[in-house]
Amino acid sequence: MKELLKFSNVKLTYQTLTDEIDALNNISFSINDCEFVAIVGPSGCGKTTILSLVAGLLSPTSGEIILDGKSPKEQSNLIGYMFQKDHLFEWRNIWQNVILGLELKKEHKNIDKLNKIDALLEKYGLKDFKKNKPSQLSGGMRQRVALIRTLATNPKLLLLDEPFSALDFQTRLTVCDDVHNIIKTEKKTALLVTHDISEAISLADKIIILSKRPSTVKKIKVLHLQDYGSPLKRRDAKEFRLLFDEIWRDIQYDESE
Amino acid sequence: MKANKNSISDSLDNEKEVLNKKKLCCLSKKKNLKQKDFSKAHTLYLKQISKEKRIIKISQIVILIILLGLWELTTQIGLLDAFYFSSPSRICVELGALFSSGEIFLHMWVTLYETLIGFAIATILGVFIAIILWWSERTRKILEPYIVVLNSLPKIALGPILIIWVGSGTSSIIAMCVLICIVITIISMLNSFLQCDNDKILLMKSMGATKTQILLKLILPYSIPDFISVLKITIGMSWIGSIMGEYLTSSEGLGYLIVYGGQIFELDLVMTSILLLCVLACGMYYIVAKLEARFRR
Ligand SMILES: Nc1ncnc2c1ncn2[C@@H]1O[C@H](COP(=O)(O)OP(=O)(O)OP(=O)(O)O)[C@@H](O)[C@H]1O
Ligand SMILES: [Mg+2]
Repeated sequence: MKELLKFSNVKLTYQTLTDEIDALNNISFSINDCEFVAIVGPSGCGKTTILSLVAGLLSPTSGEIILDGKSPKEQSNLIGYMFQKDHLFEWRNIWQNVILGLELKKEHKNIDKLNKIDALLEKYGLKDFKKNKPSQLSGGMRQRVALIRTLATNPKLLLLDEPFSALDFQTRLTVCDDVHNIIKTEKKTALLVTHDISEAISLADKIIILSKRPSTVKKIKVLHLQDYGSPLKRRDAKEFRLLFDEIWRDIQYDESE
Repeated sequence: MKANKNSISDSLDNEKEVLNKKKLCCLSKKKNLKQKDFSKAHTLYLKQISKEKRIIKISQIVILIILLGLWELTTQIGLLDAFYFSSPSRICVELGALFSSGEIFLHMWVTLYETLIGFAIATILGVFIAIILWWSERTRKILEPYIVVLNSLPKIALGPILIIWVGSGTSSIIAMCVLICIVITIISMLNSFLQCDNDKILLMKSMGATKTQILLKLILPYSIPDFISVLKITIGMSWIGSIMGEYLTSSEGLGYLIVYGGQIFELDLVMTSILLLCVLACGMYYIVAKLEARFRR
């Protein structure tokens, strides 16, 4: 398998008027093609910061980040960023929302690409809502639209920053399944940030556990639950409980230190 | 994996159904309104609401009639001197005279014209400046104290300077109008621009958007509702600007008629002009409110 993203000894320090905040301290990990990786860690440890670095919105203070052979700033075409809220633009209808990325790249007249988006909408049950405004959709559907908007520019790597935390528990489980399914069938690589340990276990192939700020990689846990199928089914796996306890203790132990 | 896919499409179908039901509900509500086959309780509820509305409308009209009636009565029996207070009947006579001579159209047009031009210039220039201030944080910080000072200064104080700088008459009236409206336009629009969710901007950036694209595709459409609210405020203020301007320097316009009428103790003329001003200002506000309803849909 090909390596898509590599962090080597990445440090990041935020400068503020009153303080220097060491957010990341010597972070190293790598992600392969088509892998689904989750990052967990205590609140404020720098998870979002890692995603911003991959997206090229920040530059590391020291260390090196390689995204498909180049630095992230030159690779903005490769990534798609999905936030906690769906951030659909209320003044645009669903179709106009999903083609936003193409519009920004001036590719919204490219019939091939438009057809591809059309197919995605159809495949994931949103075809009938193209002309609707976002406010007419349910939370789960909005999140799916946001995912398709992210997929529209055909990124290799998806960055997901707690994309389900704004949803209620029931919807969250189904949308989780949907998103996982979409990402796997479209053969995307995903880097997911979450607070929810069970969500991480049920979705990921690999979990990166961060320590408290200034954070380092505490442990990288490779999971083997793929055979159980969808995230919802993985929650029933017999190892699930044990994994949960292990990871929970890893995070907790750090906090009591 | 396959079963999993099925369950997804099931849940999709479920959601679709719910939404369809929602749509149907809306539709049937609309139909019901026409057919009026509601349950008893609902009919009663609707009746109460329309009754309440009627009471409010009638009370408003009654108050107007009482006020006008009292005004007319007290001036007729000499409790108030009609010379100082005018009266509804005298206003009617005055209106007739003004309109039949046709001169009033000129005055109305002049004031309307000054107001609209001032309003338009202030809006366009104000939004433009707000965009510049949004674009460059440094410019914004540099100019901040100046904007604060301009905002707190009573603009009318600059009247004499305006007359000297841009000349008396229409141009300084329009300038006064612009001066009064532009600061509030700049401040409100800039606030609206800056309020846009930072994550939305990051989202655009992560998709490779340039700053111009962020402005055109996110910031401007995002602040349209605020823009219309600002219009509703500045349209009122632009009337203040043009009338104040006319008080200072003018030879025509409704503001001029009011000042002139006051000077020659012609209270009928003053009252009539104020009435016409009210009609024009309300008309313009109404247009903006319509525009707002259209955009909010
Ligand atoms: N722009 C910034 N300037 C200064 N400090 C910042 C900035 N952004 C984040 N930080 C600090 O860096 C640390 C890491 O922030 P980050 O948002 O990456 O954490 P997180 O793990 O995503 O937190 P959460 O779990 O709450 O989302 C925090 O302590 C935060 O206070
Ligand atoms: Mg975060």
